[in-house]
Amino acid sequence: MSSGTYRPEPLLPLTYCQSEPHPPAPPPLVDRGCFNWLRRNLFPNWRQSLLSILIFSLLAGTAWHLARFLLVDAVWWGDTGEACRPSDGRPVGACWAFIADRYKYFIYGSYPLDQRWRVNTFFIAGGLGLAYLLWPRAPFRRLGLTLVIVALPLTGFIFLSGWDAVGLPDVPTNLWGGLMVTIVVAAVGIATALPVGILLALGRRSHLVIVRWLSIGLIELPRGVPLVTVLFMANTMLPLFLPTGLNPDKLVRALVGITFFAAAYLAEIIRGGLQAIPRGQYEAASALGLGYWKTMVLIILPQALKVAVPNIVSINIGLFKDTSLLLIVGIFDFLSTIETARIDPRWAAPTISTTGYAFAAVVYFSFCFGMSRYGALIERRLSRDHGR
Amino acid sequence: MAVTKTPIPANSFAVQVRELSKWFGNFQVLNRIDLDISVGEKVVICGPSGSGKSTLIRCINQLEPFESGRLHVHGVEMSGARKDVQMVKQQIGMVFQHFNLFPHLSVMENCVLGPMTVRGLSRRQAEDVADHYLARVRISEQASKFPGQLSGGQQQRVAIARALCMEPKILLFDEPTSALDPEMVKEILDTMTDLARDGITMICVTHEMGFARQVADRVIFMDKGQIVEVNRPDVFFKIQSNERTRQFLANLVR
Ligand SMILES: Nc1ncnc2c1ncn2[C@@H]1O[C@H](COP(=O)(O)OP(=O)(O)OP(=O)(O)O)[C@@H](O)[C@H]1O
Ligand SMILES: [Mg+2]
Repeated sequence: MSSGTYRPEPLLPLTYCQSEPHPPAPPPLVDRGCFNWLRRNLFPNWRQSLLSILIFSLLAGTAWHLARFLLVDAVWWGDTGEACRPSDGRPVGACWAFIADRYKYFIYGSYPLDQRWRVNTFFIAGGLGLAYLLWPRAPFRRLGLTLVIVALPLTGFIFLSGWDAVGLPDVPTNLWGGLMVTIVVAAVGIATALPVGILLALGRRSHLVIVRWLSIGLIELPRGVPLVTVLFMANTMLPLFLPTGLNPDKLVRALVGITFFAAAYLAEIIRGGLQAIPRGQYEAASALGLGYWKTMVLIILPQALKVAVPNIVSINIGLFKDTSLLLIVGIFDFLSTIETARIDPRWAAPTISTTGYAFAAVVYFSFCFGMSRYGALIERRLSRDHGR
Repeated sequence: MAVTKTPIPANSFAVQVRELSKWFGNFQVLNRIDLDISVGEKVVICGPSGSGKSTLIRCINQLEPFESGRLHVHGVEMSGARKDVQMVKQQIGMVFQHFNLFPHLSVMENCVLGPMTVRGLSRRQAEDVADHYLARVRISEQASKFPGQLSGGQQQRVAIARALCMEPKILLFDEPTSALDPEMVKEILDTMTDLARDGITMICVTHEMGFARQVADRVIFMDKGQIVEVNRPDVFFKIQSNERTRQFLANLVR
């Protein structure tokens, strides 16, 4: 606040004519030092400083407890639960020896040992696909995107379940388990839910009454019941709708359920995106002579999906986490393998459960956070590509 | 796909409208419109807001359906066989008040989209065509930019180029300058005046009476969904036979 008495500014003349333009000037310098940043943002006045210090000490306390449990007191080596049982009063933290011992089970479940190269191949292909998605100036972008997001999970599924014609022995899905099931289900779910969701969204806006009603039904039904119910229904009712003799695999049934559940939510999100497209875009496309599908694929959907990207990513993150419900219909996803392993008497020790859940949390978080970052990357790319 | 062009039939009318009526619900927007526009003619449509000007040219372009009456474009009945209609529709270009460029595509992509997907040109050919028309509207240097990076006047010139890339025989303009700042109005009108020298048929909804005087072969005045007066511009601006036309022109400050 300025002190002193108020002095009016000198008055400007009523008329004015510029004789010489002002030369352009560089922007004024702003302090950018680390110290200045701290002072401006964390310690601008004593009240805020107190709050900052309080919060920091709470955070530091929590971090210390976590670090002690997860790192300092952790047990890293050992073959049985014996290693993780507290002896002579020594505190015992996380039992990483348990994770190290059972990690293969957490990844492959009971997938036959001599066939695990298939899972590894699938993971490597997925890794390459991801690298391609992250590659900023990748060639054949549109084709590549479809291949990685849609074709890879579907071929991966066939590759893992086996195909006698090409000499890949069948591996029944009740042997699948662990992280691989979680990843396969999430990937196939995303791969199928996105196209289905787009079709449902378009269907709901269709002028054909039958198509519209059908889409509304397929959207509102899964949205109106919990995923658990959808999974049970898919499990018990799907065979009833299909011709007799065609009894789809349990995992496939669950996948159909998950797909429709996610697709229903995606459809509504995409419909929101579609509604954001002004009518002029349809009219301009029509004036150029584009038909319905060309208008949708080339003009409307690219813009609608761009608006919907953050929400689409959220739904896909949700889908990834919802795979843990597969346990209910008897499919061994990642979380179920941890559940099974932690009650294994060979590894009976007080911190086994906590360790298992901590590990699960870290794994789930890395995947979900990765997806979230990828979504942010897409958003940035789209806004840069469109010149805004 | 081969590049196909339907020859213009011997009939020398670009557009023939007979007894065309259209309703929005119970409200009659167009009331028994009769209109003949010759090939190569430049026509300006004016009239008070809500008189149905946009609706009329949107009917010509099949953006709006109409309930009764007949519409022929280059001799083809527009409610007839779908294939013929699709073919004729390709020959009608349209420029909108709000440009309606595709914001997710660059200027060049905006221009090659139609030629590639509808006319079946290769990308190479389409880009040649686009280069030609972007130069024609004097905007070649912006080809790689996105619509959001251009001024209104530049966007409208791109929109004109995009329409021209379809090599239409008829070009419809729906108030192409009314969303623009005064400085840009002139650049668009100049572009349109330049286009008018070609043989293309132009139907413009506009209130730029200077443009009408200079370019139009005929001026059409519409009110309440009806064509009230049609005349050559020199006559139209001197003596109006209809009272409503006179009032309308008196209220225009130009
Ligand atoms: N989609 C629609 N639904 C209902 N009424 C409409 C629709 N489009 C236009 N109208 C009405 O039809 C009438 C004519 O509209 P039109 O857009 O053709 O007028 P215009 O002469 O182009 O007017 P302006 O100079 O304001 O553009 C108006 O009264 C308008 O309210
Ligand atoms: Mg209008």
